[in-house]
Amino acid sequence: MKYLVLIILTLLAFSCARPRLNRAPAMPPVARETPAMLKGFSALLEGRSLEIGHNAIPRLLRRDNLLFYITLDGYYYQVNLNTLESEGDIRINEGIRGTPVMNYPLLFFSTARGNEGMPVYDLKRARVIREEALGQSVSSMLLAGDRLMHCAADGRITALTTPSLKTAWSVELGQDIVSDALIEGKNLIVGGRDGRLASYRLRDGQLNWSIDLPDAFYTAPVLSQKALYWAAYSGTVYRVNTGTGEKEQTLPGSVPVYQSPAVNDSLLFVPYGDGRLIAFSQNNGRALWARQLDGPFSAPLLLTANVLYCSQMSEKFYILSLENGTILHEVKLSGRSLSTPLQWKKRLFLFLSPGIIQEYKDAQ
Amino acid sequence: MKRTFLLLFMLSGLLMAQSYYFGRNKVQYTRFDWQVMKTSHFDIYYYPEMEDIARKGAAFAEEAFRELQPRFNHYINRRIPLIFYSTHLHFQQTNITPGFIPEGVGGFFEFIKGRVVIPSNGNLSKFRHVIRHELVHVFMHGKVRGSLRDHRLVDGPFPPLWFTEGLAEFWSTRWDAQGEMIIKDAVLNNYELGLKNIYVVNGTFSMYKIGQHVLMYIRDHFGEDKIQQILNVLWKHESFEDAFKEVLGMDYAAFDRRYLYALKKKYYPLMADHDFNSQTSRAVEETGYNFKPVYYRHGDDEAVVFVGNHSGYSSIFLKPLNAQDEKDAETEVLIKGEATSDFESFHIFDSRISINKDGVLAFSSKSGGSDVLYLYDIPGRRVIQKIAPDKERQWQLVGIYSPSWSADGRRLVFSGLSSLGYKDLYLYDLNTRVLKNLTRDIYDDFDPVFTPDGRIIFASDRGAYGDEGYSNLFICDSSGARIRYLTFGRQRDTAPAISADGRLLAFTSDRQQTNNLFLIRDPLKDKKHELQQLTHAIGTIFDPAWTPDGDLLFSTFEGRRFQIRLYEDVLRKMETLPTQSVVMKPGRADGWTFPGIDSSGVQANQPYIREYTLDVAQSQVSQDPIFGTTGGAAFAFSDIMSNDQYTILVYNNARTSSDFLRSFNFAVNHISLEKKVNYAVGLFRFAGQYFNPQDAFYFEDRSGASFAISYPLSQFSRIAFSHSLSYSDKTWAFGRRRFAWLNASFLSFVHDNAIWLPTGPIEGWRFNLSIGNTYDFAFNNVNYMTGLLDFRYYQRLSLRSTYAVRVYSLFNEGKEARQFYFGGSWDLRGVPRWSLHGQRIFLLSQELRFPLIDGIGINTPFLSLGFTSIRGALFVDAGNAWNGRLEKIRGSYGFGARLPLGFLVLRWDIGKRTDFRDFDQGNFTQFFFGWDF
Repeated sequence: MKYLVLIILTLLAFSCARPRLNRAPAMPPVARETPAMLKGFSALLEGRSLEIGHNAIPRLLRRDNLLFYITLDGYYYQVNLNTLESEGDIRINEGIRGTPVMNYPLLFFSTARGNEGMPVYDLKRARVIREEALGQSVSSMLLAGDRLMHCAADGRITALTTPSLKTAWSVELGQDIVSDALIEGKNLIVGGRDGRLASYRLRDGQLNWSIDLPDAFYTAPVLSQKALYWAAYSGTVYRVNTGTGEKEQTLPGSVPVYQSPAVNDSLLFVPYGDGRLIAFSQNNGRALWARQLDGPFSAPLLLTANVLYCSQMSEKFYILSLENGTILHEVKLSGRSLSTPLQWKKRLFLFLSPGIIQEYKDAQ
Repeated sequence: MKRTFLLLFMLSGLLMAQSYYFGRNKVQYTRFDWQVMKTSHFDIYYYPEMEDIARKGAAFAEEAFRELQPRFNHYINRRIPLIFYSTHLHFQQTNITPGFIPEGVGGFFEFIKGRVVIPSNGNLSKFRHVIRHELVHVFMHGKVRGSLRDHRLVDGPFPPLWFTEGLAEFWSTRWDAQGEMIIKDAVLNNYELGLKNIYVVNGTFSMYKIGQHVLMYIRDHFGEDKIQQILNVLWKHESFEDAFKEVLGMDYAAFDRRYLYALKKKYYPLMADHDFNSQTSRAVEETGYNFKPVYYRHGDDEAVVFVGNHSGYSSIFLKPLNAQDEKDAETEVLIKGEATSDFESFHIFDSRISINKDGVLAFSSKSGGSDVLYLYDIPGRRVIQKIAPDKERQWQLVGIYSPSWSADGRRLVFSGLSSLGYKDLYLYDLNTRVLKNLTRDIYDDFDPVFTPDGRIIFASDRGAYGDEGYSNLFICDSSGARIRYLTFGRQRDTAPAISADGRLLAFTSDRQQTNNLFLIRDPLKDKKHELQQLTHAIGTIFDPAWTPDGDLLFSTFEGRRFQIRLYEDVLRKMETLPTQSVVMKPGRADGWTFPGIDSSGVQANQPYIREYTLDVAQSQVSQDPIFGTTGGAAFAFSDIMSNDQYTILVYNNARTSSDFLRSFNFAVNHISLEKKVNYAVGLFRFAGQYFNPQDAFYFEDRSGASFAISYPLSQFSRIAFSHSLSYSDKTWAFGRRRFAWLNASFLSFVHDNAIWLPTGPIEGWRFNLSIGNTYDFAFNNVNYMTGLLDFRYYQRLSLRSTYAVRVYSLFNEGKEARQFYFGGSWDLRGVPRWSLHGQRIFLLSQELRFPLIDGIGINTPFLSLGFTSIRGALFVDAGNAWNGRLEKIRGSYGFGARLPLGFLVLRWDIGKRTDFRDFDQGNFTQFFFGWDF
């Protein structure tokens, strides 16, 4: 009898649960494409648009044709990029800044406002199944092997093991963390707001090296094949050896940098807060070209094999030639582009304020 | 509900301040031919006379825009309306804010339409500073609101005033002697304020400078990025202090411990070799705020004449210097300012005064739309001449500052601000009545004085470092020619004062971050000059003036007061002071300029076209058990100058759908504030069920048109006329119905020069006399006269106490004359509110107002409350409302307390009723929110 009651209660529980988000189909993990290998557009033709009504976080996540549209006010929308239709939404918390990470079927969110947890969303069950109390965070979650990394805003770095979500190790950076960390080989590199850069072994959290730079940083460090670059509020860009943590080079600047630079094999592109974009040679640190764009940058740059996409707070959007910085295309958008553009299947998607996904095609 | 809408309508629809029952007038003396200049990010509004300075302002604005966008990491995605006035006196006429603009306000940012309104005041560096200051507000407002919008938050915390104004200063100007004056005085006089207690100075200049200093401290000890970061994370928090704590890692209390300790570490060592002026000089006047002293002798009597504010009105005072007894030493008000149209403002911060050998005082005052020169005979205590020196030029001389007598008493030199927006030197010959423009350029020439040999010494930013905001002293011929340096360097040298024999020049300079007294020997000799620093003061020194004995009068800010003091025995002290030479850097002395905005890409000289945008939209639905459901909305539109305004009111009180049209109410008004004469025209229809004790329930449908006009005689008085023509269909509940074509006219004279404390007026008088007639010219069903007299007089008894009296009378006489309602805290105390009614009302109120409790605090473990300026009153009221014959007079007397609660005042009265024959048993108690009459 008790089994019967249990079965009935279970069925009732499932039938009463009405998740607003559709359950995701079985979906094998897809290898992440490298945008820098894609050929970019040189002119845009406006296509469809989808109004979500909520602004997107700076970097969105995509798997195959599904866009995980996460909003600054804590919503998660699942958007089919083929049809450009929303398949449902759910509120995760009151504010999200960092990009969640997926370990199918689970999505791990960091929380910027509202609770002190790391919500875990199950795509199959279409609901938050768990929450780990790790503190508020404005940086993105990271996954490397079985290590799930969470960097709290107060400077605590926690490595969890998947799938058990047990704490593998935890360390204090000693500074607030306001930007994304990165994985470099078998190490985690984290930058603190007040200039501390540290490398930890992913396996056990052992400190490899750390360096204190005399600056404030609101951008994430970026990794090229040759070194790590980190752009400071002062406008200075530091080049650090990822093996030893030694400062190798300093590119002076005088205007704050709020968006991370972009790198390819040979060049470093630095977006300054006054709208200047400068391409430096990674070999000798010389400025190869500079371009003045209209207004500060509103979203991270997107680098392709031949062009650079730049989003400005003035609602302008530029496509620049990598070779010499020539403006190939310039368009005034209907809103401010707040997230890294997404290029997929010969289409480019811009995520505009106040929550519009705008599709473009290559006009050439 | 109906009343709410009518009130809204009246508040927005009538002639703003001019049509209120009392209130001063914001008079549009000047007609501005507005032009528009479109730059990359701004729509700049200016008038043709000031095009040159508007172009410079446009360049400043674009420069500031470029600099601020990376600092805020923000971009303003709208064109910013920037409205320039060439003088502060023009700026005070703007309708963009309905309130009166005090002299200390250098510009403002208006939130509803995002307008920035800024005057030039003759100094390009200050103009640039104010433009940058206001644009910091624009960016900050855009950033905070944008951040909330990005996170889909309707509302959230906004930075407190210390932060918004502090940041506006921090990112628009460098730390200067004025800031140093505030902080140093606070620290060394033991009243330094941290963030916990900054509310004490909220809204004051001190708050601006403390805010700026706190942000400098954050920059130096935490990093400038943290300031921007606080704004970034503000959306996450319930309060600004929480965001502050997230970014800096400490709350206000912890921050204050560090900050205030750092202040002491910095300033306490100054005590080793600096002195308070109170220790080194003799006090002349310490009451109130005092500036610009000059020496005056009449026979054997010596005195100092100065401008100041002791009671709320800025005035010119005379204080005996060598009085034998206390009574003789009393300060006398020579000329009371800000109470009459002749002396509206003495520019107490900016304009010096001068006395010639005959005892004639020369000073300037705002009178109407511009400044005029006054000559005042001190022995005779009367104005002997009022000079408006410039009437015929194409450009108008608007501001007059610091007139100074020539040695022979026949000429005056002064600094004049023209409608071009630049300040130059002018010479006025009293005999020939000829005004001569001595300098005519973009530089700010101020504080001129005649030398005994007929030349002119003045301060100016025309020096090498003027574009950085510094000023030096110069000397020129009486024709304005042969200008040469007297001082040189990156500092502000101001307020030159030359001794009667011409051998000593005293002036103030902020060479060591604080204004001190400096001396130059033999300044008129054509040789290399040598300086001596006379004081090493902690308090800031202004406006030195020589006495015949070689002492120096000056004003100083010390211990939170602007005092007049006398520095004695200067000549002897000079002997031991070290000297330094005035050294000029070759090649830096040729002046400078600020270029106007690059003409390419700028569309200038476009005529201003009125475009109307929404100011206010408000809707409301209410339920009333008797009158049913009522719903409606009110809207107000205006042009960018707010000179032309439209107000629209619609509401409906139908109880059934078939009743919709019958109960549809509307009122549309057009108000013009552009010219000196303001007017309003409108159409209206008011229909619905009403009730009053005379008519009981009735339905009235009244439609018509109205017209009102207001003519200001001065800032303080006006004549207003209103007229309406309407059709009235009135049906009483008992079945009677009447029609009328109503013609109503009212004529009013209003005067108001009262000044206020937080709870009500304390000095001056207010007067409203109105008469009107309403008659039905078609059916003669209605015909009555209306009269109103409201006179309020406030006799000040001391700084904070006053005797107030009010005489109030209303009458309506004739056919279907309206009833007035009377009684309650607002008029006749002790009587239930509006319990009396009649066609006639009379009231005599007398009140003695005095301070009761200056401050009271309640601290609990959960909450701390503080109240300040609680005032008391003793009152006696007498009056009644009646029809026909007055049968008795009602009255009351008692005691009251008034508690200011921000914008509101809680009044509590306790007393006894009387009919002046008997007294009622027991006491009455009334609470009320509202100011004293």
